[in-house]
Amino acid sequence: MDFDWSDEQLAMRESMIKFATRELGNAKSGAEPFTREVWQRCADVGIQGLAIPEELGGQGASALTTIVALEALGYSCADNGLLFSLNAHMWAVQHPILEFGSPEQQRRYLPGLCSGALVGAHAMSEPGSGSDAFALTTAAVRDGDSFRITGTKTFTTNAPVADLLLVFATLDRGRGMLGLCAFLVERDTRGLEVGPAIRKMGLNSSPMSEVFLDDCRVPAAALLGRAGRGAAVFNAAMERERSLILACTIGTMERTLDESVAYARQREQFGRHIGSFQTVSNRLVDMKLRLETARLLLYRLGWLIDQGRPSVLDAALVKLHLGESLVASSLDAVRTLGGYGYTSEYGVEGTLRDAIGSLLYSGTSDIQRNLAARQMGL
Amino acid sequence: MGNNDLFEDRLREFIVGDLGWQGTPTLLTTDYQLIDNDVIDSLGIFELVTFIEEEFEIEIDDEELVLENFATLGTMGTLVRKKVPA
Repeated sequence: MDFDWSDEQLAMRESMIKFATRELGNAKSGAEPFTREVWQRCADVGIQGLAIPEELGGQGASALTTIVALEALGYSCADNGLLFSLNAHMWAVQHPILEFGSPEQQRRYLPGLCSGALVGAHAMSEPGSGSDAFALTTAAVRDGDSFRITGTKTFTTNAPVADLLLVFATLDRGRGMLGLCAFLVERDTRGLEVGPAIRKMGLNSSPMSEVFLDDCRVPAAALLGRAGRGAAVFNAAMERERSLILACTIGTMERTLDESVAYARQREQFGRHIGSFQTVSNRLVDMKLRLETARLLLYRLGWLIDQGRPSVLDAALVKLHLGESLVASSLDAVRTLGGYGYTSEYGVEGTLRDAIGSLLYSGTSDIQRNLAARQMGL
Repeated sequence: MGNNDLFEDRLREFIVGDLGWQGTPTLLTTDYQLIDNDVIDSLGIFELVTFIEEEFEIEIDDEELVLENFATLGTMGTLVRKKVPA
């Protein structure tokens, strides 16, 4: 077992910290969606292309190297909405295209998705199907060499600014998961409309909306993977998303802990630094423990992915533990900073609001427990 | 156990070995309900489909992707047997 990073990985971390500090350092999750200029800057430094092979426009980084980069980004950038949008784009759109796309589809979309020219969105959830994802009703009908898609998607991250949408629809609701198809639908396709951005509790710089498909005709070449095998595409996308979508939050938790420790060292009450009170110091130790256990789980998962070993159980545990730890530690940061932590000025209240979503997106914590239980033979 | 059971035997090995089912292998008779008894889930079905196509060098058509064909080792064996050249 070797816990040292390679020189290449350390260089990647340094480069991400420098970039994020210089280019994104002052940004916080605001009310406005991220700009294409910021998206482009991220692409220019190679973020969107981290896990995509070089011949398709990416950096060809391993899962562990990608984790190092995302953790550094999370430490140095407080715009959690931007980070969430980047991760949704990378794991729920790029990854399935890499895994299931034809060579033509990969060449058509992946270079643009890496270069910043394209923003991707994953459209699975519907008003009536969230955790029960395969109960979707959006229908796909074969029509010669094309498919016609009709239905409504919701909670679609990046949809208001997306150029390419990965849309799931069923050929036959009676076949359940075996009737599912995945389609790559370009934004300007006739019959596709995107609703206004949905306001949320946090992550508001990550735009999210409904997507309406009304007899939206796409060519058969838009099918990602084979007809009826969209569930495999969805499952692969969700496993990779569960694995890595919270990698940035390791950095977020470390930054929040550093800020909390610094505050506890300088803030005086009752004639002492508040960090000298065990009620405060114990809380900070709990934050440290959550950070380190989350980090170790994530690094081990990255290693499993790089080894090509099964990681379904580990992915569920990572998503569950990182999400729950992020929320608990963000709340502990607010408790530590007290009244100041409750104000917007110090930023930790925003981190807490942003954190809540991690209990829900990419499968709720309850769903992660269900996935893990099943893997444990329960 | 005759040659007729070879497909089912291989599928049983895959479920226990590769899909990591942790129940008792002897439960997996040819008519044991795999989906109803949570032996395989959605991910498992697609892993089975991929395995079947690669292992037996056949292609499962879209219209054959119905739960009934993957309900038991027996129904899967029947599907494979129909498509493997004699």
